[in-house]
Amino acid sequence: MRKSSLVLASIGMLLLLIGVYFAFFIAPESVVEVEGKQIALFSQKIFYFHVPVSETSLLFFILGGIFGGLYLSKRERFYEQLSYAAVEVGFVFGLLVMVTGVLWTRADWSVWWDWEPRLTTYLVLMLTYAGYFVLRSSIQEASTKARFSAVFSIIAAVNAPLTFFAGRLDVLKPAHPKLFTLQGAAMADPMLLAFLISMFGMTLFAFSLFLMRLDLLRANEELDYLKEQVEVV
Amino acid sequence: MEFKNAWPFVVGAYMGIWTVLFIYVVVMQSKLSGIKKELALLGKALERRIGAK
Repeated sequence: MRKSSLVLASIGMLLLLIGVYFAFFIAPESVVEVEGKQIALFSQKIFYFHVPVSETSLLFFILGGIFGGLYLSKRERFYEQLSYAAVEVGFVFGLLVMVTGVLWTRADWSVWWDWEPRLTTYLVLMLTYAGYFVLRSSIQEASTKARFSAVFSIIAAVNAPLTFFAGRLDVLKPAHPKLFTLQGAAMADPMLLAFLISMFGMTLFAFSLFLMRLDLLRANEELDYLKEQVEVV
Repeated sequence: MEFKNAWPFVVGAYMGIWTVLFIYVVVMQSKLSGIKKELALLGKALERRIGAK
């Protein structure tokens, strides 16, 4: 493991632990009024990790598209590796979004799934990226695989901002609350602090995984090259 | 949902995140160490062949 990914992983883990402490012991519970009775929503604690993993997954999907575009314009193998590593990390975080989202939906809305705009667009996004991996595994020739994957990563990345804005357009009647607007954050300061710590920690941790995956891809490539050399010699 | 009903979902969400991330890191590290071992073996084989020529 390279030193930079170890440092990022350590700082990220530390921030995430601090985030857990803030989420459970500092941030107040969200309170709703039901039939004149005040009810503290403990299930809201999922927010402090569900939203950071969600934003991180969208960030890496977009990065995957950008690196895919750079590969198509420069034709350097390095960008293809960056794109693939970013998409894979984004997909792992996407799975976490689905798991935590389903649990939160069940806890707060009493259903396991709802065809709500953001849930639906995110499911489409994940299915699209599942197609990306199917495409990669179905092509043997390296340059064709790289070219097709790059094009796919750009097209799929368009879904990321669509997913984000699907939860913000009133016309689609989203059930997701709009917590961040141009006027600021619609939550108490300790809640915002706990969220920001978790968000920053999760992003750093994701970047450390990205660097690890990149190392693995490059080591694999070196191995293939060396195997070819051994056969030639 | 209040604490007494919500805690299994909250714990499930947090444990789910760490379980998935832990498995991902372990799989990557085991693949990387496997590749490094294979690289070292191939490097030595290559050196031997070049030396023999």
